[in-house]
Amino acid sequence: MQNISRRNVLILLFDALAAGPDGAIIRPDLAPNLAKLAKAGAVFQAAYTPASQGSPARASFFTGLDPAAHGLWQNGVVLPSWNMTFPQRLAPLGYHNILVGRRHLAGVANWTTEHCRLDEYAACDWAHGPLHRSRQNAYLAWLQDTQPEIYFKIFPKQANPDDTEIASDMREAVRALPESLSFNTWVGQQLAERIADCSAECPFLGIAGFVVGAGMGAPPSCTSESEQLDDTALRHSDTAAGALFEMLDASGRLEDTVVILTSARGNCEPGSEMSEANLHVPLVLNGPAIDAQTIKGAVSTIDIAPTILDLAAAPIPARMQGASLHGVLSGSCPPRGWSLSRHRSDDALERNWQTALIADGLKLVMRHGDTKGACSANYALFDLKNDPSETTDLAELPAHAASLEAMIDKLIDARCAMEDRTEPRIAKF
Amino acid sequence: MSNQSRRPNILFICTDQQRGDSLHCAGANWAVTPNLDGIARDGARFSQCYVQNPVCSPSRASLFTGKYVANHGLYANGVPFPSHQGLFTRVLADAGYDCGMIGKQHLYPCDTWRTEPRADDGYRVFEWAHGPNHRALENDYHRWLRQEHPDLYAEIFPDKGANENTEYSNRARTGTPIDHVKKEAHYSHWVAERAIDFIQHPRSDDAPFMLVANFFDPHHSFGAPQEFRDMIDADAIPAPNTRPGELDDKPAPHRAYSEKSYSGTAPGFQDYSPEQIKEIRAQYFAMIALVDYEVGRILASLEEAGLADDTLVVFSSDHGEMLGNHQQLLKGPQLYDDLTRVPLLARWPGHISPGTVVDELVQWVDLSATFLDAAGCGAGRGVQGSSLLPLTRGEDGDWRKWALSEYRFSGFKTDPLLMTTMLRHEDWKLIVWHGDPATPATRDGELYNLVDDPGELHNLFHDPDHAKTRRHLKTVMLDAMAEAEDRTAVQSRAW
Repeated sequence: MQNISRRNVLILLFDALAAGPDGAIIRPDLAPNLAKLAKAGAVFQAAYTPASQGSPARASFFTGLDPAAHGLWQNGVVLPSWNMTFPQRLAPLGYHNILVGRRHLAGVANWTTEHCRLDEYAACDWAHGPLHRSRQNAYLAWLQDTQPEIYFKIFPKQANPDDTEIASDMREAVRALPESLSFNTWVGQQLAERIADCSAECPFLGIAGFVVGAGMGAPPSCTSESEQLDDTALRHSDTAAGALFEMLDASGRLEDTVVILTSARGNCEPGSEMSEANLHVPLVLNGPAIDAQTIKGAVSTIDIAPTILDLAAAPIPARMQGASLHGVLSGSCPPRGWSLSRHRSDDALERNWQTALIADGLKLVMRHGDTKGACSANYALFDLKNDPSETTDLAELPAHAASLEAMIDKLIDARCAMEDRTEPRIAKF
Repeated sequence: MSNQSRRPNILFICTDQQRGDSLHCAGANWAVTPNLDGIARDGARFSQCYVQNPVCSPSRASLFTGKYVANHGLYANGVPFPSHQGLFTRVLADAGYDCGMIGKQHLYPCDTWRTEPRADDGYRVFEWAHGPNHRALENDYHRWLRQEHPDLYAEIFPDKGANENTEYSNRARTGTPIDHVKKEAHYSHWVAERAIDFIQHPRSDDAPFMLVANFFDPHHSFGAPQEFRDMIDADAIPAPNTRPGELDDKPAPHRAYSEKSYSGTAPGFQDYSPEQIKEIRAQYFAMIALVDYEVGRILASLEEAGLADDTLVVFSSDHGEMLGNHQQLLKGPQLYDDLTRVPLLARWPGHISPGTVVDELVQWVDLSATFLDAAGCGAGRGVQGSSLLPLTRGEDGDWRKWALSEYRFSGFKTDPLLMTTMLRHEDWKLIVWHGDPATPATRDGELYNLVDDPGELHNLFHDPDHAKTRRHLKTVMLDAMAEAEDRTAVQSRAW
C-alpha cells in the first residue's frame, strides 16, 4: 500500500539552537530526550544554515532554496508569493499538516500577525513566541483562556504595536511561568492534541516551532540580533518533545514517523554572524529505516525539504536547490560537502554583508567591501577540523596562501551554483 | 501640458547580435550608419554598455525585468520566462502607455518552429516573428511577405512541410535566400513598415506610446540585399583581431569554439578560408547598413508625425558577434567585448544634450529603469538597474563602478556544462570559467588590461606578475555579485 512508504514527519524546529561540538545537542544535560533521539538516529555533524538571520534561514528550510533564489533576504521581508513551502507540496498528497508555534516567513515587528497560506496547514496554531503580543498569538490566547488571572497579571493592558519594548518584569514573569504553562510545553501539547485528532488513515506532518532564544518573540535589541539560549526554554522543549514521542508511541504511530530535529540558526555576538555558534546547526533524523550513524560531510538545511519529499514518496520538484539526504542516509551517495551562508544587513550605518563557505574542512568568511570604495573587503580563514572554535585566522599566513586562494575560487563557484536556475530548460533555444 | 512635463513616447529600437564597435560614430569608419550616427549626434552615445549575458533570451530577460541573469531565472535559451517575473512594458501599459512589440522577442523557447507565448506584457500590438527563416505559422513577417510579395514567399518557402530543419539558418555557411531578398521584401523592412504603422496609429493627445522594434539583423546567417552589400568596402574592414598562438594561453573551450560554433552544431571559424571570413565581415556590415536605412525611415515617420521632439529614442542590441575575432564566430561562453559590449544610443530633445558621450560602465539592466524614469513611473517593482538619464546630464557622482555578464550554459549545451562570469572594473576585465561545485568543468580564467590590450589578446590570468591584480578583481567580483543579488523584495517590517 502506498501509505506505508509515506512516513509521518515530525519536525522539531528550533529558533536559536547551535549544534553541539559533536554536531548534535548542545546541552544534553538540559535535553536528555533530544540527546537520546540523536543517539539512536542519524546525526549530521556539519549541517549549516544558508542564512545568518532567522527568517531567511527558515525560508530556506521551508522551500529548499537558497536565499538568493527565494528572495526573503532579511528579517522583515515576506516570503515572495511564488515560492512554495514543502507543507504546501505535501498537502495535496493527503498529508495532514500541522504547525504549532513559530513560523517567521514574514515580518512580525509591531506585533504583526503572520498568516500561513491557505493551502499550507490543516491546522495552524501560530505563535511567534511567548512575548509576541499579536492578538492572534495562539499561545497567549490559550494562556488567557486557561489561566486568566495569571495572564492578566502579566499582561494587564492590551499591547501597543508602536511601543513594543518589553518591560523586564514582564519578561521575568513569563520566564517564571511554571513548566505546565510555558510556551514550549504548550507547543508540544497542542501539537500532540492536533496529531491525536487526525485520522490514522492519512500521514501527518507536524511542525513544532519551539522558541528557545532569550528574546522569546519580543523585538530584538537594537544593537544586536543575537539571542542567547534560554536554558529553561530548552529544558521545557525537551520535556515537551519527550511527551510527544510517548504519545506517538502509545498510539502506535511512532514506528511510522520520522523525527527531524534542526534549528534555523544558532546564536552569536553582533559582528560574528558567520561564526560556528551561529551557522552550525543541529540536524538529526530518527525513524524507521534510518540507521544510527554520524555523517561528517557538510550539508545545508536547504537539503531537508527535498529529503522530506523523499520520505513522503513524492517527486522532488525542479524548484528546489537542496539535495535529498536520502542517499546519504543509506550510504549510497556522499553529502554535498560544502555549504554557503550569507548575512546581508542594511540596518547598521556601515554595511555588514558577509558570505561564508564551508568546504574541505575549512571555512572562508568574506566580509564584503563596497565597490564604490566606502569600505574594502577582507577574508578570514579557519581550519574547522583542528580549530573548531575558530580561534586562529589563517588568511594572512603565507603558509595558507594557496588554501585561501582555492577557497576564494570555490566561493565564486559556490555562489554560481546557488543561483536560481530552477526553471527547467525545455528546448535548445 | 508643456513639452517639458509631457510624458514622452518611448521608441526602443533593438538589433540582434550587433557589436558595440560596429557604428561609424564609434570608430568603425567602414560602417555605413548615418542614421544611427545621427541619433548619437542629436543625443547621447554610451561608449561602454555591457549586456548581462552574451546570448539572446537571458540578455533580453535582463532587459525586460531589469534583473541580473542570476536572479531572473531565464539563464539559457530554451528556458521559459519565469511566470513570477514582471516586464517593464506591463508597468508602462498600466500607466497609460500604448505599448507594442514588433519583430523578435525571444523570452520563451522558439526552436522546432514553436510560437512564442505571450507573457503578461501589456502590449496592444504584438507582431511577432522569431526570425526570417522561422517557420511558425504565426510568423507575422511571413504573413506580411505572403501578402506583399507572394511570389518571393512561394519561391523561398515552397510548402514541403515545415519541420525539415529547424537549425537551418544556424548551420548555413553563407546568407540564406531570405537574407538576400530586395530590401522591400526584407525582414528589416517589415519591422520598419510595422513600426511606422504603429507610430502613425491615432492616439488621444495624452496617451504616449512605447514601441519595442526588434530587428533580427545583423544576426547570422550572414547575408544582406546586394544593394547594401554594394555599400561596403570589404578591403576597408580590418582583418580579424587575433595573433598567432592566441588561443594557446586561453581556457581550453576557446579552441573548441574556434573549430565549431554553437557547441559543435554550427560551422566554426576554422571551417572558413580567410577570404570567406572577409566576406562574412562585409555581409555583417551590409546587414547593419540595411538596419540603418530602415531606422532612418522609422525616424522620418516620427518626424513626419510631429512626434520627434516628444519621443525618447533608444537604440541598442542584445549581444555582439565574434565575427572572426579571436579565431571565432557567432557567440557562446566567451565574454570578450566582442560579445558583451553593445551599442547604446539615446536621443530625447530638450532632455539629452546633442553630442553627449557617456563613458561610464552601464548595463542592459539599466534600460528598463531608464524607460520607467522617463515615463515618470518610479523605479519599477523588482528592477535592479538604475536610470541612465542622470548620466546623460553629467550627474554621475555615485554611479556603479562595474559591469557583470553571466553565461550559464546559456547557449547550446556542452558536456560538462560551461559557465562563465565577466567583471569589468576600472581598466580591467576578469573572466571566471567556473568549476566545482557549480559545474564539473575545469576552473580557469582570463584577465585583460583593456587600456594596454583593448583587443583582449594577452591573457594575464596565469601571469605571476599579475597575481595581486587577479586577487583584487576576484574580490571585486564577489563584492559586485553580492551587490547584484536580488534584494528588491520589500522589507515591510523591521524584523
